[in-house]
Amino acid sequence: MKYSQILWLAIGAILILSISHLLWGSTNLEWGGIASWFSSSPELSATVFFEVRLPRVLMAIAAGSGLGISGLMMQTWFHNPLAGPSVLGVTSGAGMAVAIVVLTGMGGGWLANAMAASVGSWLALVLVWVVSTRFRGLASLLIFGLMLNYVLGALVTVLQAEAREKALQQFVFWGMGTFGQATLFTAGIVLLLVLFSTLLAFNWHRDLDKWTMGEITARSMGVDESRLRQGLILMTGLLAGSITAVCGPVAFLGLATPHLVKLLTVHRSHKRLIPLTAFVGALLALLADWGVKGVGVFDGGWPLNAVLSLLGAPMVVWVLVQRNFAHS
Amino acid sequence: MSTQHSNHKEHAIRASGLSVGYLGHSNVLSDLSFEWRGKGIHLIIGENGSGKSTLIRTLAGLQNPTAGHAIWDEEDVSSIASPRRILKMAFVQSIPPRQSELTVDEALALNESDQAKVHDWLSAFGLLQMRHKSLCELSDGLAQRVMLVRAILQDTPWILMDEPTAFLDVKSRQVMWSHLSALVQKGRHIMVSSHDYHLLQGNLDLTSVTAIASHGLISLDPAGSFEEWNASI
Repeated sequence: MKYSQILWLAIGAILILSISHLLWGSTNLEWGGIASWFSSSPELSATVFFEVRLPRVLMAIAAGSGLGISGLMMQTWFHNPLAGPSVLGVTSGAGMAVAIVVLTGMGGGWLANAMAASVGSWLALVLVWVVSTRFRGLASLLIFGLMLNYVLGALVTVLQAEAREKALQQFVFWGMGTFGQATLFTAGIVLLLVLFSTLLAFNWHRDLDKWTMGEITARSMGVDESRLRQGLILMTGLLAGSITAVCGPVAFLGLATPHLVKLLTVHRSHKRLIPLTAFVGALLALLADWGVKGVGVFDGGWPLNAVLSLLGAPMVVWVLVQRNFAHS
Repeated sequence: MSTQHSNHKEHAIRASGLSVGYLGHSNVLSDLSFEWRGKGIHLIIGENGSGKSTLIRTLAGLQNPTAGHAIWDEEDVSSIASPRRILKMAFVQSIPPRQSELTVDEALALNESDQAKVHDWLSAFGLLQMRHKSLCELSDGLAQRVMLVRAILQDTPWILMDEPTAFLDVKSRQVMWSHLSALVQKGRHIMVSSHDYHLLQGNLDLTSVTAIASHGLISLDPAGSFEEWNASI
């Protein structure tokens, strides 16, 4: 299939899934009442549509695209196909920061969470980057990410043990991951951030391609390494941070999306990978959210991170096996 | 396939009181003053760890000198901004890109050269069948050939290479050197550091041979034998 056809297919699937999410849910909507949102006394249907379903769909799209793009950027930057915001501890960094803000009672509001989460992501990213300059090989960086995840997780547990009950409840709920806590405002802001980041990444597509051929070659081809690094760290941290602040730590989307994209197309230039990653990420998030809603199989559905881990973990193993195949 | 700028003018790379190394470490090589001028192949030889890579990267402007200057045609390299630098010098490093998933076509498209030219060079290097393969799927020899084509397509008067054959098998090494000789016929200036100079002996395209010895750079006779060269490092 041609690239443009795959792209249009992804867009079509996103539309269909979005509409299905808007149409079906635990409440039966009175479609005639939707417009009452704009009146002074909106009906229940209107409130459910505009305050629950629409923000959730927009958030799923933003989170899927944003995490997919940040995963692709990290895989390219670290020359590591198994890099991703959740794997390398960037999401945990954001989570740790949110834990500090929420559990100590300093914040809990969206903006405080988002700012803390972004700072946490940046710190984790810088740490991983510094370490990556000392390590070679796929596995050592991953093991470092795993250890970082453990340490940050342990610190969060300590904070939890010390926290008051109400703050704790709020935090635990956040930690399971969900697109359902978004408001039109937060989803809108994150969506804008994701759009902006994707355009920015697209603008760098040549530099990113050159970077895949190695640092020295990229430099000889005119890539300004420190500018690219600063841009990528800033962007990846902001994406992972803002998304984590609203949705909680979301597993595997960042790691898995680029691989699925590479299964769908033979193109490997970032000019082609970036748009498709943004769309396929949104598609995966919307699909996973159907799993969360339970598709009527289980009451209340599964937690988002459970669904994503069931999809994502086999993906990691599959990539490792394939790599081993290629090298033996 | 040849370019107008590389055919006429002779270019030079000069080291002036140049020290190379890494910040926080003692210099790998200190206070070098030397000039490489003219078309053809400028060979730099030296033992492992003698500083060949550090020197050639610094001369290429890809690494800052710890002291002194690397000068291209009377211009300090560190003052040349990268958009202009990439018009003057292309670089091939010793390790072929084993991580890059770019296809050969995608990698070569980054130079924005016209398609006919890409086709000609791919054909000259026996790579036409590989256009849609990822760089990481190619053998080291083939991947390195792609990197050489990429450097050629950058269309610069100088091509600098840091042990381009270090990871290649014997046959790929010979192919690589014959391609370099072909490039010289097109008027390019090539500087290459290598261990494989026995493959170059008697090659009429050698313009200069420079040995990295313990006390600095020594100019050797390009027409000399490889035993003579060996004796001086």
